[in-house]
Amino acid sequence: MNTLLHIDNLSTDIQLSDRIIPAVKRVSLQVHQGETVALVGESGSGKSITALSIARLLPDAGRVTSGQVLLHNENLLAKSERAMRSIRGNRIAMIFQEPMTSLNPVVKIGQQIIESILLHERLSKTQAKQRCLSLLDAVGLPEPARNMAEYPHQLSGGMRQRVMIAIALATNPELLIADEPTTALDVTIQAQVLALLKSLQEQRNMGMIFITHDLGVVQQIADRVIVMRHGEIVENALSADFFKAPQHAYSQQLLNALPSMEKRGLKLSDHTHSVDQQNSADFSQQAILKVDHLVVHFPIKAGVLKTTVGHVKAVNGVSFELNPGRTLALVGESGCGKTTVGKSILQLLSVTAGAIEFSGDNLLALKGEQLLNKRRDLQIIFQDPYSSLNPRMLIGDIIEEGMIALGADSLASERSAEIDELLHQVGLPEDARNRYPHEFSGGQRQRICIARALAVKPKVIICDEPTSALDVSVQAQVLNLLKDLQNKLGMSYLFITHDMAVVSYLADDVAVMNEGVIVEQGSVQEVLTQPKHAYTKRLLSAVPHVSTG
Amino acid sequence: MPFQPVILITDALFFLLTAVLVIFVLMIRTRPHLKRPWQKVIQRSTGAVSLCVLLTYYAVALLDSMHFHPRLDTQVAAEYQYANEIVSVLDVIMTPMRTQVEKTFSAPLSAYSFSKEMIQYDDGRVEHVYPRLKYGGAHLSDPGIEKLADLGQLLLRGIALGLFGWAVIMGTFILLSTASSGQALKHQLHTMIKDKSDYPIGAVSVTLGLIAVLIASSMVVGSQYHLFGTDKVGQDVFYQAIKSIRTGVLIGALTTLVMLPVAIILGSMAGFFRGWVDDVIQYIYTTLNSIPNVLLIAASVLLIQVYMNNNADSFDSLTERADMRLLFLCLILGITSWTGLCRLLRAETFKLREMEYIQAATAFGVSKYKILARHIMPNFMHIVLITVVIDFSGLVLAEAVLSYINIGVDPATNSWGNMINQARLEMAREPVVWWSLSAAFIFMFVLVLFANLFADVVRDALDPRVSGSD
Repeated sequence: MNTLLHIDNLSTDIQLSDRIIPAVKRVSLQVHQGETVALVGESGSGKSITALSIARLLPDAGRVTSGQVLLHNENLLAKSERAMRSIRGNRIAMIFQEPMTSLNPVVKIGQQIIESILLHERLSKTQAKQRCLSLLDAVGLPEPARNMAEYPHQLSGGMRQRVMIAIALATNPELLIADEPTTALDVTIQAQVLALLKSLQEQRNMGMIFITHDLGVVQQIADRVIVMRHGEIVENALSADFFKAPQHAYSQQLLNALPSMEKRGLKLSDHTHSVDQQNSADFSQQAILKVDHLVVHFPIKAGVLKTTVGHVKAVNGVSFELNPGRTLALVGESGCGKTTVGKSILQLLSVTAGAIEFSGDNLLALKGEQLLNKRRDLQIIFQDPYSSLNPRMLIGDIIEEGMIALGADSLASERSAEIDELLHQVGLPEDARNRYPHEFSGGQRQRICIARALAVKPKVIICDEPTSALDVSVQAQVLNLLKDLQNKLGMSYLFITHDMAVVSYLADDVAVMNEGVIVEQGSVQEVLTQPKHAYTKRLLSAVPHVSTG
Repeated sequence: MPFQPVILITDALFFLLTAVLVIFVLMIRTRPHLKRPWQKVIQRSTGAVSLCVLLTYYAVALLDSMHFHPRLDTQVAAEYQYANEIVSVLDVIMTPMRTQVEKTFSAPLSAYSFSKEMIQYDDGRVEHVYPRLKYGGAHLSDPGIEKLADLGQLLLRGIALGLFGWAVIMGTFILLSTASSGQALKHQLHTMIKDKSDYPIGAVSVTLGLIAVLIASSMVVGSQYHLFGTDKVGQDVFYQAIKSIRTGVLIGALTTLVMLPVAIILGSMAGFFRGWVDDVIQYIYTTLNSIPNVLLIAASVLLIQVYMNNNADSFDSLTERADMRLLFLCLILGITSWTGLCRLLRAETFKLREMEYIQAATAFGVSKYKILARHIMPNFMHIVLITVVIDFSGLVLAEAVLSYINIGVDPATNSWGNMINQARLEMAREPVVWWSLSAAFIFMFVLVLFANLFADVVRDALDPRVSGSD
């Protein structure tokens, strides 16, 4: 095979105002023609900076300090910016993570593709249009002729990512750099995009660098796997070998950190200790939370008088029960209304119809003092650990706020002891209480959110995708913590997620949601191994599985 | 007592503002997340230098705000008599310039009057000459020969005095910083001279040196000459320009004090509660915004003027009357200028109320007003600070414009706008009288320039979109 790209000893520094961060350290790798190389690593491992160094698109603060990037034996780092411009988009194409922001919202799809064709090739307008049509057809848009005349907002996320791929392929590049191209997409769409990329790459014999943090995706698409950590390559192996027997300790840890059905009851990434499986859920017990035909409609208002012209039917008659000490996973793709269910249980949204019964009382009928009393039993952990903590408050104050508002402990000294205990429980250092949120990493912040929710001793915690913004190994820690806490304190979780692997690892029961209704529910074994509904089957088959051994 | 203190309303508000600023600084020192951006401000040499200049202006305004009735030199021992006139500490410091009033115009540093006069000598001879000034250069027997040498001597004395003052300030500073850092004096000096400190000590010490030399030499020269000449009625122009600092700083600062609570409360309420609250507040500010500001200000100022003329008895002195008008000008400027900030804060609150920590607080049952105070307001304070600093220079300029069209401060109040207004006619004279205008221009320009530079640095440090952090 021909070597397409050869990176030799590449080092890149990021210059911050007060210090220099070596983002990439002496990285060497090769990409052959027609080969897909996956760059895998957790956030901050330097995989994106490596890709940006190749195309010389580093941010202003970034500097390549040593090494060579050879594309067919031409050193890209030595080229002038002018020469580089004709290489970028022409011989090297890139696809980015966010299809929403990568397209210009005020220019029609067709024009954006034609523009990039004409930029690099001498073609007439009609020829370019012809090329554009065949490209859109190749990436599988349903009606290329009509789609060409549409604006980006008229397309869904998956279609937009297809358009991005069409733009990237417009000039027959030799090398395609895809930077987490499917991270923002739902699993079923992700599966389609991955299959598309794979087939296009084989047809055109392109080299592809695929950057991702998702090992499931890697196994589907990559020929070779390169694992990066702290700016260095720790393992470079053929995909088949890698998943059979990862050599480096960090690679093994990454694979072990993946939650799955087989690891139920075991600690992730650490097989030595098993979690006490004393989830002796007492089925005779009354359901603690009972949602009955919940309907949430958002009015669409229009006109001068703001009259209601229609409704967005976010949740359309959802019923389920949550038993004490159990975990119910609410699964579905984005926009299916699962988060709306969570928020309406907490009364953060107004409910259109239905009933929410919590230990015998209808929450929707409660007001003032009574509602406040119930609030301490229901808490929430959010998805984004960065926006769920007030950046101007000390951790101690954040945790204490709920205690004061709900009058959990009246004495300041009692509260203070409680906070120490909570921080200890979620595995944070004691001095954390006098620090600010920005001093903590994503995983640590999620621990703070858990401590904040625990502070009022709730009976039910609604976890709204608590791990989807975290790296795998951090996700494993948070999942372990949640499981430990449940065993110790006997809370129930309503676990809202789109990640089937997390569901199979953590949940006792599953409810699958699609377009505002629950299409299937049952115990996790039943639903995941013998799905009955067509949507559940489709969802499960789209999930990229990592099979080791 | 040698004097009887007087606190005018604007003085009281100015002291209040100073107290608020001091408390703010003390509060920041204990909170690292607030301290960090301000450290960034003074670590940049532009920020530190402009802060020095602005603090000097502020100090002058503060000195000029300490008013009192001086004691009259009557020899009745039992009871002191106080003068009806109100003077400030600054007036006392600048006494020679305040009291040395000539007959009419004289050019800067001149010993002669600007216009010819008929002078009758004792022997009956009448001559048409430029007469000598009563005070400016009066100690010279022949100004034509001696003046330059005398000026040079005075200037040298001023510079020496300034350098001495500078040395005292720097010495105290070094001793204080050594004491607080706990390092040896030698080591501390070493870091400073090698410029190894995080702070731009070199730039600051040069600025302080310049300020000290400028102040000292203008005081020394100003006691013998009229540094910027005299105006139509013979008053020292330099003195007027210095007195105008208080008016300028006061308008910039007090207007902010009036505008901030309105903008913050209405803006955050509109953004947080939405619905009809938002509608009402929006209607108020769009209505206010659609009335031309100058029209509104002119109408209000005329109203207050009529009121003051009808109730002339309720004011003890002219100073108090002028003070009242200054206060009302600040109020009116405040009322017309809160809308911009209000709009910004409304939009920011819109964004913040969707943040998950607000929802978490709601899930805890924290009350809406507590959420506003604890979670929303601290998170938009950077916008407030940036707007205040940027608006300050605009307000100083607005005063000049308003006074120029006669709807600004009282004609009896010293202000740059009034000086420029008077200079309008002087510009038409032949030969031209340029010094009033230039003095007002220079002092205003320096204040506005450094306020703008400071605003830039503050914006860079506080705005998360610019700094990319926080």
